[in-house]
Order: sequence, then structure tokens, then C-alpha cells
Amino acid sequence: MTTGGTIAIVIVAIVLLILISIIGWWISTKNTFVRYQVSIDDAASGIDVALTKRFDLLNKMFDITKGYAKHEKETLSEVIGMRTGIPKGTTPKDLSEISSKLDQAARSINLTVERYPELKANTVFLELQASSRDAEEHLQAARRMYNSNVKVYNQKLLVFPSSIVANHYRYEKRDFFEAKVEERKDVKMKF
Amino acid sequence: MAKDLKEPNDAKINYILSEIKPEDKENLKNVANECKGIYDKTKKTALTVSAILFSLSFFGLFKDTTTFIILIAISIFVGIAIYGAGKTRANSYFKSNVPGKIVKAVFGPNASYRMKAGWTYNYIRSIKLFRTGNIYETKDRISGEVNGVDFTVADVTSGQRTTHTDAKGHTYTTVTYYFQGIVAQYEFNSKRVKGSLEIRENEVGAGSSLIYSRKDNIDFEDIVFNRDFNVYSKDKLQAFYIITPQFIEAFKEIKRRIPGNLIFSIQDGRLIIAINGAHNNFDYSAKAKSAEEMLESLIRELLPYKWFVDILNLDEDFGQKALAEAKAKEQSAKSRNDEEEKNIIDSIKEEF
Repeated sequence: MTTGGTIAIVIVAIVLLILISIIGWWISTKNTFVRYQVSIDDAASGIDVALTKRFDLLNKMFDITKGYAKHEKETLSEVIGMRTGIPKGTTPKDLSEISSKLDQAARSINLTVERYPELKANTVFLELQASSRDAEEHLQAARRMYNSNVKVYNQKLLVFPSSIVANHYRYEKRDFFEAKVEERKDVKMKF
Repeated sequence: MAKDLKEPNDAKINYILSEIKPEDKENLKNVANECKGIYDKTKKTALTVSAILFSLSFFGLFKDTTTFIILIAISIFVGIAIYGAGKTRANSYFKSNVPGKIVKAVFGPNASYRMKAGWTYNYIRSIKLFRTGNIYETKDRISGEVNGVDFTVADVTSGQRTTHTDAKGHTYTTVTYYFQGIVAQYEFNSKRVKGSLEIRENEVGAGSSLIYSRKDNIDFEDIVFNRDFNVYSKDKLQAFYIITPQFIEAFKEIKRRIPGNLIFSIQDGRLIIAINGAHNNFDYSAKAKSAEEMLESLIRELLPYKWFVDILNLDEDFGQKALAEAKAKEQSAKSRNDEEEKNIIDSIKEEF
């Protein structure tokens, strides 16, 4: 084989190697994005589950408090609002809104408990209260996990060279699940 | 183990010392003074014997230099042996009389200290926090309770002794230590924490996980925490549930205050803390200026085990105490009603 032929083969091999590397990187980057999308959706469904559980528990607590505070029934009903649970396909922004309403409801129930000490001796209520607190902590965990995934995903969308793949597939930034300032103040997390 | 905890704990130490009965305190001080007596006497004997032997060894000079050197070596060796034996005796006397009482003063009357007991080899193997080999030692076991949380802690040494023979037939023995430190276990409220999780300080001494791989590593929202610790779990949501922002802050504080490489593991509702490079120091200290200072130093050794419960909120009962009290009240009211009902039925029966 001539020297020219050898050089041509080497050049073709290098070009092929570069092409294979680029294709490999492209596939791996795309898969990373897909993995993060799945993780984000998983975390979002975790938020859904935690919110639904909290909603159900607050509803039950609300039913018990009604017996003690009939005149406050309307106020609490208004706060709880949704009687049918959390609608499917709700956006993070809406979920955040629902979460905020649930916190408001929890605060109202706690105020009622302060006014009616008999509730503090009601075992069913106390059990529901403990479960509600647990559900709130699960919600916090799901929210933090969701935001942590969204943070990494959004970073990858913007950072070069993974942004090339993101732009090609028209991946869009995901919204964070924002907790309002007053909620952060009220929720006490303990191990 | 935690010298950095000195300042914030001075008030607690004084409080614990004030809680010890005056006669007990006096006894403890007497033991410490007796130990000092044994130690001082031994030191004096060792020095005297060495000096005599050292002087006698000069007679060796009349024979030859080798004999002289051998006699000098013997005099030093005998001195060290006497000193060592006396120190061991003082230490043993101290450890069998003092730390047990201090442990009870710090953790309550049900707490116990056993100088020669520790964790079983099988337990250490089962928790899989560090490698185990053919060297295993354990001592200074303390069991007690802090705010309703049961805990046990002991010193552990784990390693491997390997003998090699080279091509020339020479035999070498190498010893590798996998872990030399403290293993503590807390039985905290396990009702709500399921699954397992491991937190390792991101330092060479903390070693790598024996259970989890790198893909199980979870990043949290705190950059400093992510830099200083590796958190491993198969269940990411559960990990976020356990590692709350307050927990993250607590860990950063623990790293700042506790010397040694930290490994934390949650397994079936137990929190296991392994600190490589730290040791319980319950030995008699000849350096202590007074018996009081010695007692203070022992209390200081024990306070971190209390502090872990406080900073990690291990005593949090999630409303279970209030619920149990309400249930007990409900039960007693029910019993009262049943009794009244029975009395009424009995009285009706009697009438007929």
C-alpha cells in the first residue's frame, strides 16, 4: 500500500472515531435529559401523592372540628375549597397554590384546636394530626427532590455543549415548585 | 473524644457534678487520688530500681563495653516494665471504679459501663460500615438513655493481619487497620423512618460504602453539605424525607465539632454512628491536676452522646406521647364507665 493510501485510511479512521464519539455523546446526553425528565415527573407525582394524602387527612380533621366549631364551618370549608381532591395534570404552579391553601387550612384547624381543648384529648383527631404532620414532611421531601432534579435539568439545558442537544429536541425549562415565604416559616421539620 | 465541645458544655458539666451525691463525689475523688498514689509510687519505684541497676551497670565497664551496654539496656527495660505495670494497675483500678459511676451520673441510674465489653464481631459485620478482618478488638461499652432514646456505644478496632513469604523464604507480617474508633447505636423513633441510608464524610479516612455504589449517591440543595458528605440510598424520596434542611445543618455542625471521620447509617429504625479516629478516653490521666479535673474530663467524654440526640432531634416523638396519654385517659374513662355499668347491673340483680 502507498503512503498516500495509509494516510487516507488514518484520516478516515480518525473522522469515523470522531463521528462515533459525537454520536455516542449525543445519545448519552439525550438519555441524561430523558432520565431527568422521568425523575422530575416521578418527583411531581410524589408531590401529587403527598398533597392528596394531606388533603384527605385535613378533610377528616376538618370533619371532626366541625362538631366542635359549627360556626367556623363555612370559613374552613371555604379554605379547603376543593372537595373532589387534586385535579390530574395540575402544573407545579397550581400545585404550589393548592399546597398553600392546605397550609392555610391546617393553620385554621390548629387555631380551632387552641379554642377547643377537648380536641386535644380526642385520640382520632390526634392520630390524624400526627399523620397530617407526616404527610406535610413527605410533601416537603417530594418538593425538595423535585426542585433538586429541576435545578440540575435546567442547568444542563443552558450549559454548552448539552444545550445543543436540548435546543435540537426543543426541551424546555421546567418550573420550580415554589414554597411561599410564610409557609416556610410555619412548617417545622424535624428528624 | 470531642475537645471542641468544651466551652458550650461547661455549664452542663458543673450541673452533672452538682447532681452527684457529696459522699459519692468524695469516693470518686478518693479513688482518683488512690490511683495517683499508685501511679506516683510506681514511678518512684521504677526510677529507683532503674537508678540502682544503672549504677550497677558501671561495674560492667570493668569487663567490656558490650556487657556495660547490655546492663544499661536491662536497667532501662526493668524501669519501663515496673512503670508500665504500675500504670496498668492504676488504670485498671480507676476504670473499674470511676467511669461506671460517672456514666450513671450523666445518663441516669439505668445506664451502665463495662470496661471489657463492646460490640460483638457479628454485629459489626452485619452493619457493614467498614471492613472486618482477622483483627477485632472492642472495649468500653456504655449503654444508657437520653430523653427516652436508648443508645449503646463502644470502642472498636478492626483490621487484617497478613503474613507473606517472599522468594527468599523470609516471612513478613503486615497489619492493615480498617477502623479504629467509636461505634454508637441509637434506637430512635423508628415508626416513620423506613428503609436504609448511609452518610459518609467525604474524607479518605471515612472509606467507601460497602453497600452502595456511586449511582446511589444523592445530592441535596446545600453545596457545602454535598462537598463534605456523600449520602447513599436506594430510595431518593425517603432520603429527602430523612435529610431535612435542619438535619443538613446539624451534620455540618457535627463535622465542625467532632474529630474523626464520620459515618452515619440508618438501618431498620436504628441510627448507627461510626467515628473513625476517635476514642473514648476513660483511662486514668496522670496529667490531670486534680481529681475534680479528672471527673470533668470524663463527663466531657460522655456529653457528645447526649448532644447527638439533641442536635439530630432523635427524641422527637411525632405527637406519640400526647396520643398515648389521650388513649390512656380514654381507656381509664371506659373502664370507669364499665365498672359503673357493672355496679348498676349488680344492684338491679340484687333487687330481683
